Amino acid sequence: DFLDLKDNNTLNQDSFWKTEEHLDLAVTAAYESLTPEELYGRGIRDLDCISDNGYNEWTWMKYWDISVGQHNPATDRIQWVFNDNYKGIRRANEILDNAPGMGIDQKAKNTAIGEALFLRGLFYNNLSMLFNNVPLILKVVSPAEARIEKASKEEVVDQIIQDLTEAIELLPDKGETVGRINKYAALALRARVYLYNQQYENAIKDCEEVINSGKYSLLDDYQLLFSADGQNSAESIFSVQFVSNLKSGEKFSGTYKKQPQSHFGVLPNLVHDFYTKNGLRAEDDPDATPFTHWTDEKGVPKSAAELEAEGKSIFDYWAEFANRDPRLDHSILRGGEPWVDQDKWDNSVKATRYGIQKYIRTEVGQYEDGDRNFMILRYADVLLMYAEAKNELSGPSGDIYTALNQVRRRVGMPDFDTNLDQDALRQEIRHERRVELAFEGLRYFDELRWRTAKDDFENKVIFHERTFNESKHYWWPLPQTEIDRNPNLTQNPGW
Amino acid sequence: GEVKDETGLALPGVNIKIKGTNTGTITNFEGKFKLAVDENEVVIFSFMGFEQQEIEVGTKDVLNVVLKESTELLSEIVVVGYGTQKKENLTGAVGVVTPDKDVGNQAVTNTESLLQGRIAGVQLTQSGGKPGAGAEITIRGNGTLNDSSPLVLIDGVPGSMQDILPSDIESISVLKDAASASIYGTRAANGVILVTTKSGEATEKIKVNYNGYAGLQKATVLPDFLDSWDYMTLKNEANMNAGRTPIYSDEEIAIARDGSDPYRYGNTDWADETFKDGAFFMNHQLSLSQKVGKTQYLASLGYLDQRGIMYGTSAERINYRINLKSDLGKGFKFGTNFFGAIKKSEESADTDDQGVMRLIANSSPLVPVFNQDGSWGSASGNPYEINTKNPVFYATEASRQYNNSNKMTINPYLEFNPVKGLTFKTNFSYSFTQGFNKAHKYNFQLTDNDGNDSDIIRVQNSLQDIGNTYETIQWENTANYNKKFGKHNINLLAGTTMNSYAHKWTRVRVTDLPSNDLTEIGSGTNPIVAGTFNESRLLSLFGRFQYNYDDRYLIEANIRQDGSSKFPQDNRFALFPALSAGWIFSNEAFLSGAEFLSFGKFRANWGQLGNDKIGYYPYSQTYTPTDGYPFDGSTITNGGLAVTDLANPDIKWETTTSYGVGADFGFWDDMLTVTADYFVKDTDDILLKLPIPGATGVGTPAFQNAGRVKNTGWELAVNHYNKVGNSGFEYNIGFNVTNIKNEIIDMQGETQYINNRQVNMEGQPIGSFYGYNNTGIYRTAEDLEKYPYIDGQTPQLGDLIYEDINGDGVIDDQDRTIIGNPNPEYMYGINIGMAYKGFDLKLFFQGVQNVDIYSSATGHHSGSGNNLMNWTTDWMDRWTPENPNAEFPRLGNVNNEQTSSFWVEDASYLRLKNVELGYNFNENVCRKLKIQQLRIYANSTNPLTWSQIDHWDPERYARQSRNEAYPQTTTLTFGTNIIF
Repeated sequence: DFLDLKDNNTLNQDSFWKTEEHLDLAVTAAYESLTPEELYGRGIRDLDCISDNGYNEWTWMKYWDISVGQHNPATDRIQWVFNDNYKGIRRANEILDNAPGMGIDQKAKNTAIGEALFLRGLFYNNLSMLFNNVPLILKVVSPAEARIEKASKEEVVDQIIQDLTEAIELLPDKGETVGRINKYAALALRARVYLYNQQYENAIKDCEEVINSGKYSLLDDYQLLFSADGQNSAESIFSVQFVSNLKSGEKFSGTYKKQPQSHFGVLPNLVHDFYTKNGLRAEDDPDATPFTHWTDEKGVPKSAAELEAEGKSIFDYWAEFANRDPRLDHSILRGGEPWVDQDKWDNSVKATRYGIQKYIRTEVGQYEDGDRNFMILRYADVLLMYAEAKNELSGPSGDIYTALNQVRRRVGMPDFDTNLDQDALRQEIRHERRVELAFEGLRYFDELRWRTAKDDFENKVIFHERTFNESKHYWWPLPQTEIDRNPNLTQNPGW
Repeated sequence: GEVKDETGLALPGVNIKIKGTNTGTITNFEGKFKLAVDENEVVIFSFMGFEQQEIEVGTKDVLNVVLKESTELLSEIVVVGYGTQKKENLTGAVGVVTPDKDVGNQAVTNTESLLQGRIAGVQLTQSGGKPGAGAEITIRGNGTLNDSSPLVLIDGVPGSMQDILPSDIESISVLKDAASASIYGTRAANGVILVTTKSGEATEKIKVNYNGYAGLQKATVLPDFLDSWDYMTLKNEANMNAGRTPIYSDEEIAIARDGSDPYRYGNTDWADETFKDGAFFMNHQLSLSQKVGKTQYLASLGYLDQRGIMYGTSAERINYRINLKSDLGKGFKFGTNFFGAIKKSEESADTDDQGVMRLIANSSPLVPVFNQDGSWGSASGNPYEINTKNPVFYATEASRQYNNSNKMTINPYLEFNPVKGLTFKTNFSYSFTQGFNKAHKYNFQLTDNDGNDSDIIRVQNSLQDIGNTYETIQWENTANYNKKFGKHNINLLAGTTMNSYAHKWTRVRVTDLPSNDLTEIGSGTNPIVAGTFNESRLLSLFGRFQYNYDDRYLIEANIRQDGSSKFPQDNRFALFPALSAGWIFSNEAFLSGAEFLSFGKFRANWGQLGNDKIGYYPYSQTYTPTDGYPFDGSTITNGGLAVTDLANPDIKWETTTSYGVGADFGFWDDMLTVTADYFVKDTDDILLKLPIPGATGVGTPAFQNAGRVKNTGWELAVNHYNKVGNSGFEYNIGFNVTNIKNEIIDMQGETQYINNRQVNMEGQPIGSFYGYNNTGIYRTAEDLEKYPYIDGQTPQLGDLIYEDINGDGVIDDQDRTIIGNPNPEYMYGINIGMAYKGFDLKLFFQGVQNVDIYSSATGHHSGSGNNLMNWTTDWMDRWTPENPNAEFPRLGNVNNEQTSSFWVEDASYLRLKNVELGYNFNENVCRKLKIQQLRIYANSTNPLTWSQIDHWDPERYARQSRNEAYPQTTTLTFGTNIIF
């Protein structure tokens, strides 16, 4: 027919989903949906700056509003995070809708479906942790079909577990390349979802399967883990892959005006929370001096001149860092430390006088997109999850310490005290998670699921005032734009 | 007998016919003829350009006839869709421009601009005086939120007016309403412009017509920026007001003022330096026309060479045309039009951020154009000078962009008249355009006057080639039947069109060429390539029925069915009907006594039109290439494919329903004519991207047929022509005015933010300015108490007061309102012509009334001073404690730059668009020189403008919301027109 024309510029609904290459392209696009700035390109890491680990110095980014409880349904950051997770879900759903009917190699299909299920589970886990209740979209939808009521948190979690369970069946033990999702990534993610939802027995089983597989181990050098050379190591179970100088680069490792992640402020209470080399709080360690000796009441270290006036020395303060858990130095930049092209980093530009150092590139002038892979799941996390789940289920036991001590020994810290009761061990495990996993985008979720956010945010953040209203701040409001565009959607409680 | 014109010259080729028969002859080379007639017969003499005469033979043996030259005759036959129509019998709204008669030798470098101000209801806005620049045309208001450009047909072939020479144009018809345009169906909603080119002369003597002019151009207006010492003072003031330290010391200001160190503390007027006064241009047009045997031909060639008013810009254009028409006998006629245009232009490739026009305002006057050693000026020192990108350098030597295009069209047709009144025509056309664009950005390092490297550097050079090819093929077949039965006249038209359009686009970009002298892609590295191919097709049926009873009652009905590849299969065919009627009441018997009334007609029309500018395959859900993902963590091996833009499988065309009434009057033998129209243009199903739930998982929603825009207005055109007795003095005065009210009726409750100043909002005109309403300046302590301010800020004396629209005591987003309308309420044109003893003078004025522009951000800003911009001299009258009654607010507060009505200015203007004074040498001189006509003239475009806008040209696109429009040009040309 004269009027029937084909668009040969790109594939369309009639010409796509025919070959294995087509499926690869769809899978590539689904993986790519991990990379936006709102998600693993930066945003997930930046969730640490709405936790008690950090704060958002560039208020226009709106993490600030969320951290101090001033956010509302119209806060654009909330809309962006919501939308980008659903973009990933759609790309997964495209595969889940179309791959089963394709007449291609079954193994390739299974892997693709498994990867899509993993990704959908991951995005829904983000949504369920942040919003609690969200619309559960499980197929490719038109705008009209997307106008549905939200599902309960339980329904969402059940779906995630179901997706991951299926994914575990379908995925290979080892992916085709290092960056690909395999069965153990799905197991580790399911363990995380179980743990986040207090299903400890299941979490333990999944962690054990990962641990017992023998495929993963801790990288000896903690600092190396977050550098270019330590990427995709035996510790990495699933990392989002980035390359620089292309649109697919990340934005969490860069420096701006030679400052590491200028928008990201490190809170002093995190710095103070690191143990001394003896595995003790600085207050409890006779060999150490607490950092508060050199700081003002907000935890901000005083300047050399101010200290001099008090008869103190900034060099003593700097020297004290050598007396701490090495992960402090690897994660945080302090004044006086060599940095980029400065012999001694001038910390006066930062309000809290600390900068973020984990993952940060030190090459001069790295303003543009970076190439650091972001670890969503790493082996140390599995060990800590295992320890936490087991302690919650049945209290202290030897295998808990075995797991925990691996994490400690790797950085040369002393073993855990074996005389702890269940509650004391719970506190120690939580502390260990904080210092081991700082700035990896996990702290905010931990604070929410432990229900410790109010006390930690309002009372332990000494640098500035925060408000955490327990009747609505354990979940975000659904974006106002979404409420406006979906008449079936009711706002979350309290908002 | 013999036929002569009024000057006594013999007229060869005059058609002579016995009334009511097919018998006739034509005059020979000496104007003489022989014809056998009976006593009671009437002989009709007709000749193109002359009034027809009928003479009763009676008993005369010799008929010596003097034909009167007619200026009116040409315009009486109006080209309409697929045919012609006597002007008096029109029932729709059609505007006509006949360039030779109406326009004279106006120096138009873009043929479109012939239409500006000439026809009521047609708004043309020039994009500025850049060589090769185009214009925007809207007919009877902007009827869509999308592309609103009209359909242009050149002898029935889709094209662009830029492709043809003004002197090749016989007439331009603008079909303004549905009654006249619906025969073009789904492409006609924005109006249709029909261009008819001249055909060859009907005489065997060759006619050679040369018209050439040359002249100079300059900018109509350039902004007046502060001198460097004032600039320094204001920078200091802005910085201090913003709580920072001053930048320049008093000593430095003194050095700038006394000019003692011109290379470090200069006083450069960047606008003056970047534009030249007196840019040369010339235009030559030559045509040959003749009848050889049974074939008439016209061959023409045109050449335009235009140096731009901005340094580094230029354009050249060659137009060519051959029109052939041959009588094959037995009722067959064959013809071919072959024409083309070759265009080349050159400019700076640094067009990012509005390019050089923005740089002119964003440059420090302290920086010299050239350093003392003759190298390009640049500075080190404070941050403002460091970042000054020497605009003259950027305009000329930082980069080059070459735009080339080559378009050609061939259009053969065959006509067949089997019996009187019945005509079959088949018309084929093929049009091919190749466009080529090369953008070359050089690498460079400028130095300051001391030879130190400055920050003005481009590390990496790049070269980009863009190739475009367009191909249009059209085949049309029409049958036309004309018949008169007594007082009944009918005209029937039926036809089909097949049309296909294809566009191929490729782009290659490379970087790191080893030398800036290399001009070809092969010498660069890191190629990035892209390309697309898109196609659309149209298959149509159309018909028309016209009925005329006794030249009193006129009825016309049109219908067109369009099938378009752009519409989804279930929605593929669109039907566009139109009806119109007219009553020539002056032909009624009861008015036969009213001698003052030479003509009177009422018209009414209704019809529907479509707009198919909805993309190529908008119904097809495509999977778009994405950036990709590096699976192995090191390289991206492949991109992905995903849905990034939703498709709409139910999409269809936008439908415009247009209706109106009109009246035409002629008084005192048409010495005074008046045409008035009232119209409504109601466009429904406008494509909108309505927001979708984020849970859909796609960022870009699909277009939906959801919006509605209504234009209502009236037009009035008055023309007066007179010869003053026998004095030889004749004159004409014409005036046309249009009023249009544009309103968005429905956007499903959504608001579109076009930019941070303009919105599309229900109940408001398209592109309305939106922001705070400024009610004054805080001048007293009392004001500070009285008026609320921006949430979280504390106002100071000299700040702008914003109206608290919702009365909640704070100024925030909720207080924004509509503060201006970029669509003019009135547009008008005034034409004055007079002739006396060989001299003639033509004046043409054009204007718009009640139109707003947003005048900020470039040269007008009150911000914190930590940016580069210079100020216009208006800012000497800013608020300071010493100048509390100033017109402008204090410097240093960014909140004074919030989008507000303070920055909205009335851009109404009246401009003498063109004036021409010419002299036609009398025939004695011509005869001695053995030529037919010799004319010399002086012409000027845009010599005078009346407007409240001081520093910029008031004529700019509605969407241009910053002061960065390229200025229009004023030209002065001298030319001659010789006909052999």
